[in-house]
Amino acid sequence: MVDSPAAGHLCGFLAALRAAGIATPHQKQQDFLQTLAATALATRRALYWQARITLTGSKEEIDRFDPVFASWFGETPAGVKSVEPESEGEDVRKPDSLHGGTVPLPLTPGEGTGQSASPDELLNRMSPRRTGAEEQALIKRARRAAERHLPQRPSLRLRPSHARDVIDLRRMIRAAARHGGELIRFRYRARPMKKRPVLVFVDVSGSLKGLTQDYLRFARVLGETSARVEIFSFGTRLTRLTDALLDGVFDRALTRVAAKVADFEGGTQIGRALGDFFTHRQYAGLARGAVVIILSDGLERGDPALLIHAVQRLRRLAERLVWLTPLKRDAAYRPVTRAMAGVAPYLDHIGGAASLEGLAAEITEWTRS
Amino acid sequence: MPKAPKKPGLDSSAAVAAVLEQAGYLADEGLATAVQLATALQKPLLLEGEPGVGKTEIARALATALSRDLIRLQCYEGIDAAQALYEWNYTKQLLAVRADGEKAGVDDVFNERFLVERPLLKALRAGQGAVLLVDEIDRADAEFEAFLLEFLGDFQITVPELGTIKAAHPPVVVLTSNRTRELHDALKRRCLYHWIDFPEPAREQRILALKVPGLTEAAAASLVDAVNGIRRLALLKKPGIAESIEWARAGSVLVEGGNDWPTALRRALGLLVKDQDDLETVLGEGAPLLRAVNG
Repeated sequence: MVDSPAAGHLCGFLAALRAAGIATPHQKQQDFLQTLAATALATRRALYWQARITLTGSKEEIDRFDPVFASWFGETPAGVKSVEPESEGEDVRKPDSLHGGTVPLPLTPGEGTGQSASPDELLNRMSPRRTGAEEQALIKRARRAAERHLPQRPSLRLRPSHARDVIDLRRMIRAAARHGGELIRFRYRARPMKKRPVLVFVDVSGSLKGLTQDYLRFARVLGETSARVEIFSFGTRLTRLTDALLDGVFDRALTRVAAKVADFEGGTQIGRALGDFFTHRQYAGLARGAVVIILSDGLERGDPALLIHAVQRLRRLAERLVWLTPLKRDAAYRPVTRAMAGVAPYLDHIGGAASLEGLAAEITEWTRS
Repeated sequence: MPKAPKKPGLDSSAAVAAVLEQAGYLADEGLATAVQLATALQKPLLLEGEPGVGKTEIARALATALSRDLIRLQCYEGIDAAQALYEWNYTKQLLAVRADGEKAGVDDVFNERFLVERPLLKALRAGQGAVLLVDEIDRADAEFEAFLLEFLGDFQITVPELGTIKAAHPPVVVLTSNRTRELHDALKRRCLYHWIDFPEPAREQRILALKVPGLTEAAAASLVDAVNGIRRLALLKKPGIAESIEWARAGSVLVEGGNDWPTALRRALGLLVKDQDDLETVLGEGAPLLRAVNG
């Protein structure tokens, strides 16, 4: 048994883990304590592994676990490699924004650092506007259109159905057993239709001032309609907004988003931001077979080649690739900037995005196959 | 839960590592501890890590080391209970129902005789005799995780028509995930968790020596340096251990054929890096790394 000072130390350690944001449910704590009781601990290193394996549940948690362990039991044992192996040459391609960090990346040379909003300025600069009654009506309209028109595919799971897809032997045999072995009626199962995953990229750069919030509203509508969705914002860097934007009342979600996006109304480096997307394997997989929507004016300040490259990659993965731009106010719009002209051949549709109303009205355009 | 009889050689992480090494798998201390705890606490072990770091392989090695059967369940989108847990043998049921006519009741055809074992049920019944590998659980949809909860938590499966089937001795269960999506907390709570990292150079060198017979120590060392250099490049997919083994194998075949190491490795590069953009990066920025390899 553990004596009381040690027990106190362990309780403190577990509390510190919780404070660091590691959910250590009762069951996991029990595993940990059981392990401690069962094994004669020889080294701090052994303790480290036992604690990490029983108490954490994801790579992010391990990243938070290490400093807590170090402060309660001394240094992270030598010879244990840090979980984040990337250290050199990675800072450009791997912004910490996806992990909730707030330090903006250095901009490319030539652009003053004043271009990037510091987190302090942020809430002033993106002051979430309350959603008015008129907007509510538009949101409702967009949601109805999205529910009806977003591309679908057959689910891989069979469900009892009237559609004559696959014979449902299980139900038929149950019925037959009740009726003395006679098969009286055929029963079927079929693959119900299911919404394709949706991936939305929202441009938050300065050139779209005023429209960004409508775009976020629209992204949320799409997110609520589809079962699998990821939403990202980009200006000079990529920020994952999925959880912040989809949780709770919209106006409150917008405040959370405002706190997350550090490059609001900054420059535009779409190519680099989209390129970052592919370095995150856990999200990049979602693009496969998905409907990918980019809400941006396409005024690229970085190298257009990067953007074209990223769009080509998306093209190869996505089921449908749509670019919605506020510049397309009328049918005469042609993608002429170097970046837009370069990506246009890879897009399924270039649509207008001048207002929430336009976005809602146009869903039928780009969802048509 | 009845205590499983103690297997000799699994009561410390060093012992686990030794047993695994005999089966051809070099585990580091973290992974060995994870396996040791999984057998000691009788809990499923959830492994995550980059593709190709040996997540699937560890289950295979464990089965060999413990001389048990490996039962593998490959997950995919849309997998459901009928493919993972159990299914009824409808043909047999139908024949039985027709043969018995009036006498047959529902209970007569929904009993164990007509049950088809799928991997999870098979693992339950095999108990101590099996290592169950639930591979790439992140590919299955979120609903499927719910099917697994009862199994992972209590090592039992409930068949509505039959009741609960429980394992006398729980099997060793290994789950792997490539993190293409976040797994549900309920699932993680029931598992021990280990993140497998790329191995440190010394270990990778030993792995290469073990897996590529005939590779000289100097060649292995410089190959590992090259692979680690390539992993530091900005690649979309960093090569795993599986890839570096293949690369070393192909390289040594070509070297035997009369090429020098840098040429051989450049020719075999398709086995290490499998993306056109990455290939260009390696041949461009990574060219000095390849040139530095020698046997």
